[in-house]
Order: sequence, then structure tokens, then C-alpha cells
Amino acid sequence: MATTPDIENEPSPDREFNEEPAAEQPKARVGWQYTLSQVRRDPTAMSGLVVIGVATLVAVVSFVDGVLFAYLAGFGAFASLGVEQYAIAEALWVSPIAETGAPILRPPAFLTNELYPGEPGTLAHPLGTDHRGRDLLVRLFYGTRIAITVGIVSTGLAMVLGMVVGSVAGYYGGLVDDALMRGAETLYAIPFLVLVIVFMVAFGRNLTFAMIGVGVATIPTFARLIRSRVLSVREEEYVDAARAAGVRDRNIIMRHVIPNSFAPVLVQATLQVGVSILIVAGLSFLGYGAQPPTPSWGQMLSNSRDYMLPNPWFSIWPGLAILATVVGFNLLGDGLRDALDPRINN
Amino acid sequence: MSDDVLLRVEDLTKHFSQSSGILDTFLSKPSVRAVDGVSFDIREGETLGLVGESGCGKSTLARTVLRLLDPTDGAVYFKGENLAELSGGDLRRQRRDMQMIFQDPQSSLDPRMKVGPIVEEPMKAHGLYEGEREARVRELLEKVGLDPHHYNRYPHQFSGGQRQRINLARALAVNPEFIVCDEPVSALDVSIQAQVLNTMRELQEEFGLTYLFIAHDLSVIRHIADRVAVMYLGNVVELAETEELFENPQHPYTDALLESIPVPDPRADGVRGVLDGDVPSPIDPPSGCRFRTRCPDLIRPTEYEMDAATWDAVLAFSRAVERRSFEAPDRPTVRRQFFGDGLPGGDVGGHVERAIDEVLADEWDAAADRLTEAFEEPSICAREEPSYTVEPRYGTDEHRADCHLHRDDTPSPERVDGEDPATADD
Amino acid sequence: MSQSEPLLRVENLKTQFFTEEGTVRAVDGVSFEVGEGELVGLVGESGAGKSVAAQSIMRLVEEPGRIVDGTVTYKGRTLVDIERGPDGDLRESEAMLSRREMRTDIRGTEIAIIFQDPMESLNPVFTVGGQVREFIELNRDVSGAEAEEIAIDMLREVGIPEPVKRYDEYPHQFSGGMRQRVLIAMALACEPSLIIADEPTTALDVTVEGQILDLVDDLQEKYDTAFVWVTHDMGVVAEICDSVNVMYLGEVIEQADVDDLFHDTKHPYTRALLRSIPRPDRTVESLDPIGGVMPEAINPPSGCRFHTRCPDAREVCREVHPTHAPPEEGADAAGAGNDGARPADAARAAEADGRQPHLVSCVKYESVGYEHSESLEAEATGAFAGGLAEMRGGERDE
Repeated sequence: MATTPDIENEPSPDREFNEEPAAEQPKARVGWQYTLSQVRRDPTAMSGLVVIGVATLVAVVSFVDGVLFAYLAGFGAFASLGVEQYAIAEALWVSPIAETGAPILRPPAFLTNELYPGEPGTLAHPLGTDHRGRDLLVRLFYGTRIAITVGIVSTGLAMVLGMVVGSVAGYYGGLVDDALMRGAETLYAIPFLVLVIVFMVAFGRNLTFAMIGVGVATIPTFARLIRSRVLSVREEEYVDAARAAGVRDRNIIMRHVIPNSFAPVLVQATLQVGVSILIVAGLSFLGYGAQPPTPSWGQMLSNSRDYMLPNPWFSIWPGLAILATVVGFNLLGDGLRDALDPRINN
Repeated sequence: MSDDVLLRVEDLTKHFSQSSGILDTFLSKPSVRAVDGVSFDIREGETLGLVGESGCGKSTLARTVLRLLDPTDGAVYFKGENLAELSGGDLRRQRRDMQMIFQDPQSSLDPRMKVGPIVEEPMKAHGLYEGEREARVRELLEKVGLDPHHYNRYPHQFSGGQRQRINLARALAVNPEFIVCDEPVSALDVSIQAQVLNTMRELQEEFGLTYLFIAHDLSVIRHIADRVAVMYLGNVVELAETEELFENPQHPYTDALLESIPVPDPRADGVRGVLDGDVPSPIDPPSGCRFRTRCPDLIRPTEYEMDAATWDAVLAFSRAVERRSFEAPDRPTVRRQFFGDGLPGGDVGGHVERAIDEVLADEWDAAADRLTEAFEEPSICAREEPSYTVEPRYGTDEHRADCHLHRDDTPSPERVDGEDPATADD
Repeated sequence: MSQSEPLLRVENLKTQFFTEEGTVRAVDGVSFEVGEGELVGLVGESGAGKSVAAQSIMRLVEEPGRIVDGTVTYKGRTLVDIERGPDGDLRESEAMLSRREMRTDIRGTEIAIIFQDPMESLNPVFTVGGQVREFIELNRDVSGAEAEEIAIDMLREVGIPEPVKRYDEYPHQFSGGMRQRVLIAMALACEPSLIIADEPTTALDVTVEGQILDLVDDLQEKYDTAFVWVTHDMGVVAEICDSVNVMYLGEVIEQADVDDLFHDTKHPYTRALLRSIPRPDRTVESLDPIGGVMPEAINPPSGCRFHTRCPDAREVCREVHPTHAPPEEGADAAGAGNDGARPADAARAAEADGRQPHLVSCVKYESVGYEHSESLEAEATGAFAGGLAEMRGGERDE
């Protein structure tokens, strides 16, 4: 019997048997509200959340621009206005895809000196321009949309399919388990990038298949995680208790097994979003993924290769954007991990 | 307490297969015989205590009785219906009358559910008390000694003893007749144990509950049980009324168990670890009586003539060789250590002599095989499965003691020290 | 004990855990002594602080825990010594052994520790023999071959059959009892003068526990090793201890020779504890549980810490913190048992012949006005933790 002072095990007894228990009620340590309050108290998770929030906001705005306006363009009245995918940017600022002529690779305003002579960055191009004279800030801005979409879609796909595969395998066990998990392991055995690239070569070299490819290749990660959780939750006595009480199998799965398996999945998913963003950026860098002139961070990095030394800012900005987003998701994941564990002792 | 049998377990057997994964389906491994032919009755309103050491199969038995595990063989009659044959829906309905309380107050409550829904769950599962569930939960919480206002708390906000009370409330939710309690107090501090045990008794009286109470702690069993079954390696070896079992144990294993418990009184006789060796593997349990490989009272095979002291010496030597628990520098030392003044004569002496040779030649396994084959295998304990009843000294209930020492069916509770039971048999 | 310096002396030891929820006063002013070859029990329920006290002796308390006060001396060396600095803060004194000295001179060689879980204390990826040998090599100045020889000897000594063969086996090939024997072998390997055993038989089956207690008895006779035996099991205490310290909420509340503790019980907590356990050797009709649960050590009750659950509690218990002293049989303690002999004298006599003097922390035995104080409705009788059973139990008694 452990004798280290275990706060969780020894809540003080309520003295008033028949009165409303007041101040000495021990805090609840599960549930959404508690999780949120934990996240709010955790500076790590909060800074992650802020980064992700900013990125998401940017993505949403550019999404509205891209999708909504493109959709509206289908209608006669709007079509005559010539509204296109980058309507807002073009109206307010500069197009992320149209080339703006010389001078190309203009440095950002604050860098202009003897080293980077030429026309200094202006309000129109605060971060400078790329080798085709396109504004870097606007391209970064629209790249966010792709990054966030890619991260969420591919991870969501992997999570849903992985949960199906993993929970079926874990719950039924036996041959079903063997078949599904050996299949998943086969996917695991092929180098990740090779798998995705082969997938894209087979189906098509565009962003949609990049997302699907990354998602499919990530299924084993989730399947294994969920299976192991289901296996351990199934052995918990409260599952036995529910069975002994006469609760139906599907209710046991819905009410006990899945809620208790979900926390690590959520944490893993948050971390995985960052990883997927990184991978799709890598794919774009290799030429698989978003195709020019679509602005994506990976592709921007790829383009900057030839200008790395003389014009570092060209690669620094997209690099920083990727770094910040990935770190943001990782921070949030770490924070969630702590917040979602009911047994953790501060 | 009435004499009506509520639950009858007949020859219940549960074997676990050891195979897992695709490869193993092609290679058959022997199964683990966790519960092997157990029979007993539980009467309405009584508490049957089931006691045994870890690995004896008592928890498996509990889960098999409730059909949380499917039995390999045998039957469990609950109010006349064989649970072992019920399927899906029928079984689920039957569970309304039989509930279970688990050992670990930490893991037996879903950490993400509040107390209210936890206690309500069995009612929901059986569609009972629609509309009045919350009121009933509050009433139940009060019944088991918790504050009804704790309806909206999570399990981790309670201490171990309180969590075990929530377990009790959940088990009582659908008003069952029979509750299997699997080590319900062993995770609790002693002073809390007493509180929970008292509550369990109160509830039994109030609701006319029948308990199958599993524990490894004989003190707790003595306190709560009306009758006690002692398990060893998948078998029930002795079953009697509580007072009878504790005051007049008739199986050497029960004896050993009772002698091993430290008594909370420094003036009491000291504890002796009377059992040597470890429990054999349930994959390949000993033939005949399962306790025979450790039994201090193993019966002498009838083909040898020798007095009790010599037999004890031979047995001690045989066990020591099996366990290699001594050093063998030379022949006289070994002889002196086990046989004092002289080796037994005849066949017995021959076997012993050759075994000593083998030991000295460092062929321990050969020596052990020789001795086992010569002395232990021919014993009735290895050849036949024991099944006897003896005359109780306390109370009137049947006293089952599955030990061949009782094979001549003499009700005498005396031990066979000195006298020779084997000759009486022939 | 009175003639010579005891082997181990613990004085006013305080260990606290600094958590977000507050300071947990796990060990709060514990004093006891262990004589040479003596087996001293440290008994209490979970949360009483007995394990933390044992670990503090070895300075094994980990963050966020810290020893904040007290002195521990062992064979004249200072293991722990906290003194008040010039600016009033508590700090480690100069006399205290350095961490390095603790490691090289004390742990393993002079004082060994045995933990509760024999599985977790052995590394599953190394052979049992290898681990024992490594331990010996580390703590004794011997070559590898010698260490192996000693290791095999020790394994044989603690009753492991075929030690030469089993030397090369892995922990999972040993049963629980055998693993605990290995740990005892390890602890004994460097012939320490003191072994701290932290619930060493709790995880074991009762027949195996019997074997281990027997073994400890034999070994203690042979090596004359002193033990601090941490346990919650009164049966084990009665079985093997020479003297006992009963702990409640970080304090030692009763300290006595084992026979006195069971047969001349002074403290209401000890008495209640003994009354609440079911007996293996006789039928007890109804158990008499202690109401409520142990309060948290973050904010212990005022006065006597047991007063919230004490059946004998009176108003004064809430205000006065009892001193740890021989029970005085004064006018004030009329209601508290009658033994004829003056306990203070008895205590002195006990000390003279080397027995543990009987010390107890209860205001009943002090001149602070206990008998005139108003009886407290023991709060726990109303608390839900024992509520139902007690209320009904009470009704039935009347």
C-alpha cells in the first residue's frame, strides 16, 4: 500500500451528512470543462493555441476568398465582375500568383542597405518579393490555407479510418485482429514518402491526392494506438462491471470503451497535424503536391533553393511559417496530453 | 437463511487456451486449467466464502459463475436455469438478478462517468425504474453510507472505501438476489475494511442478499462467511461451515493456510511457513490430489512397509532432492542429514541409496525422478482424485474434505501421525 | 538501549511535499530509535507517512518532497541534520553527510532497503545473479569472480534452490516469494547493520509470507541485523517486531514494546485499530470500525490529529496538541485504564533493562483538564464514510 501522500486517494471526508457539501468538495478532474480549464492554465498549451488560432484565422479568411468567391464566380452577375480565386488579395493588395515584373527578389523593407541594394520593400511588399516579383507576405498568407487544410484533412482521414480499423481489431481480436493489423503493418513497412509518392504517381500529382496519400499512410499510426488502448480499456474492471450488470455490448463500446480510448487519440491527432503539414511541405518541395502557381509553403521553399545565399529571406519566411505552425500544434498536443490525463498529479 | 439452493455449480471447468495470433493456431499449446471440476451450492441468504492464494483460480471461478467467461465444461444452475447454456438476450436478462463487486475500487468505476450515471447504468440496461432512476440512485447512495448529494461527482473524488460503496450501490441498483464479491475489501485499509464489511452485512440483512465472497484473507472470510470453500490450484479442496473449517480443518492445505496467518497478538504461537516450494503450474497439474507435491501428510504407498518416522524421512529426502535444497558433499553427510542413525532397509533403502549415488554424481534430475517414481507416484494421493466428507465437529452442515486421509471414511478428525492408515485400507 | 548509543536515532524528523494544492506534511516530527539487532516496526494505515519516514532515513525522498527538519544519526554519523540558519530559515547543517558519502558509505553497505514489490525492484532484462553480483561489486571491494561467489552463497543462504543454476535466470522465472528472497539476499550481501523493509510481504500470499517471516527470523539470529519494518499488518507486527511505532497522519502516536502495545494498549487509535481487524484465530461477531477516513496531511486537524475520529475525544483534544511522553496516571487520567504501577516509573524501568519505554501521544494522559472537558460528538460518527453501518451498529448496541 503506497504511503506517499496521495491527494487523489484521500479527499477529506464531508462532515455534514445531510447538508449541501460546500467548499471542501474535491475538484473534478475529467470532462470538457476541466480539460479546457487545464489548457487555459497551461502556458505551453495556450501559446500553441494562439499560434494555431492565428493560422486558422488566416486560413479561414483565405478560404472564404478562395472557395466562396470562386463559387460565386459561377453566377452570371458575379462572373461579369471578374471575381476570381484571389479576389480579396487582388482587390486590397496584390495577387499572390500574378507576376508583378521587375525588380524580382526585392528585399523586405527593413533589410534594405548596401548588401541588398535595389528598391526597398514598400507597404505593398513588406516582406519583399520572390524571384518572379510576387509578394511574399500574400503568398505566405494564402499558403496557410493549404497547410491547415492539408494537416486537418489528412489527419482526420487517418484518424477516422484508423479508429475503425483499430477498434474493430482490438474489440473482436482473433483473426479479424490479425488480418487488419498485419495489413496496417504492411503499410508501415514501406517508407512513408515512397508510399505517398507511389500513391500520387498512381492517382494523380495534385494536392488532393497528396492529402489522401498522407492520410492513408498515417492510418497504421492511429490504428495501432487505438487498438492498444481498446485492448487495455477492455480489460478494465468497469467494462467487466458493465457486462456483469447486463449492459449491451454496443453500449459498452459507446459509453465506456471509446470515451476512455479517445484522449490519447486526440493528443496524437494534434501532434499528427503538425507532422502532416511538414510532410506535405516536403512533398511540395519535391514537386509532388500543390502545383505552381498555387502558393504553398513547401513549394515556396522549393523555389527558393537557387536563391538561398544571396536572398535568404525568400526561404526564411516560408520556413518560419512551417516551423511556427508545427510547433504550435506540438505545444497544444503536449498541453492536451496533460489536461486529458485524469490521473496526472500536477 | 433458508435451505433453498439459489445457485448450484456442477463440475465447472474453465481452461484458457494459450494460443494467440495466427502462428499459434497451427501449434497447439496445452491449455491453462484455471478451474477444474468445481462443484458447490449456495443457499438463499447465505454468504459462501471462497478462499485461496493468488493463482488458485478463485477470480476465474467467480467470473465463470457469472458467465463473464464462458465455461469450458460444467453447469451453473441459478434458480434452476443453467447459465452455462443461456445465450445473448436471455443471459443479459438473467444478469438482473446477479451482480458483481470488484476488487479494485480504482478501476471498477469508469473514470469519465459521474456517480449518478454509473449507478443508473444497470437500471438503464434492464429498462427498470424509468423516470425515478435519479431518486433511486440518491436513495441507494444513502443506503450504502454515502451522501446523496454526491450524485454529480466523479469516482476519483472519493476515497477507496467510498468508491467500494459506489460499487455496492451499483450492484444493488436492480435489486438483485445474488452478488459475487471478488476481493471487495482487500485493497482497503484495515479500519476502512471493517466499515465496508459491516455495511455489506447490513445490506444483506435488509435486502436478503446472497453473497459469494472471494478473498485471500482468512480473517475477513472468518468474519463474513457462513460457509467456506478453500481452493487450491483449480479445485475446491475443503468446504465446511465457517466455525468448523477454522476450528476443525480436515485438509492439510487448509491446515497450512491457517497456520501461516500472522495473528495480531504477540503472545500467540508464532507463524510457521509450513509449506515449502511453490504452487505447481496449472498447465500440467499433479495427478490425483493436486496438493500432493507439497503435502506434508502424503500417504505412504502400500507396497512399502516402513514406520511413520521412516516414511517422513524418505518423503523429506525426496522433496529436498526435487527442490535441491541441500548441499551434497559426501554420502555420510547426506545420510546423517535425512536418515539419522541408518538407512531404511529393503526396497526403500535401495531406492534411497541409488538416489544418493545420483545426487553425489550431480545427477539431481535423475535422482528426483527416481524418488518420485518410487515413492510419490504409487501413493494413492497420486493415483486417485480424492472426494470425501467427514463428520463435522461444529454445526451440522456437510463437511467436504477432499483428502485421501479420510478414505476409510472414519469420522475421526485425528491426524494420522504414527498410526498407519494404509494397512487399514487393505 | 540506555547504556549505549542506539544504532539509529531519528529525532523530530519532518518531511514535506510541496504540491500545487499545498504543503503535505507527510512526516511531521517523528522520533524513534533502533538498537543493534532490534526489529522495530513502523505501522500505520496508508497515508500515515510510514514509508516516507523510512525513505527519509536513507534520504531517498524525491521531489517535490523534502526533509525540512530533524536529525538522523546512525552509528555516530549524521545522515540528516537540519538546523536553523542565522536568518531563521531551516537548512542542512555542516555535520550532515554529503550525497556522495551517503551513496558510498551508507546506502547498501551500512543500511539496505527492501521494497514492497519484488517484481519492480529487479530489472527484468538482466539475470538475477548478475544483479546481485553488480550490487556486491558496487558496495564491496571485491573482484568480479569473488562477487559472483558471494552472490551465489547469499542466494543459497536465503533458501533459493539450485543457486548456481538459478544465478543465470531472469526475474520472471522466479515466483513472487523467490524474488523477495533475492531482494533479501541482495540486502544482506554487504552485511549491513540495518535493513529498512518497506512492506516486504504485502504483495505475497500468506503461506509465502510465512516462509519469508521465518527466513527473516533465522537470518536475524545469524547476522544480528537490525530492521525497520514498515507495514500496515498488525499480524506481521505481532509476529516479528521487538518494538513498535504506531503512526497516524505523520506522527508517531504510540511507541511501545510489542507485548505492551497489544496487551497494554494506551492510545485510543491503536486500540480502535486493533478492534477493527477481523481475527483469524477466533470468531468476532461484529467489527468495531474507526469512523471516517484519515484526513489529508495538507491541513491536519488541530490539537490531537485523531480527535476527528476518536471515540474518546473531548473538547480539549481539539485545542491541545498532546506531547509524546510516558502515560502519566494522574488524577486527570482517572478514566483511562488502570494498571496499578506508575507508568512513568515503569517507563524508566523499561529503559533500564533495554526495553522500549512506553510512550504515547494522547491528552488523556496529561494534566490538561481532559476529564473536565466536554465530550465531543465524534465528528466521524456523522460522516458518511462509515455512516450507515455505524449509526445502525450504535442503535443495535443500545
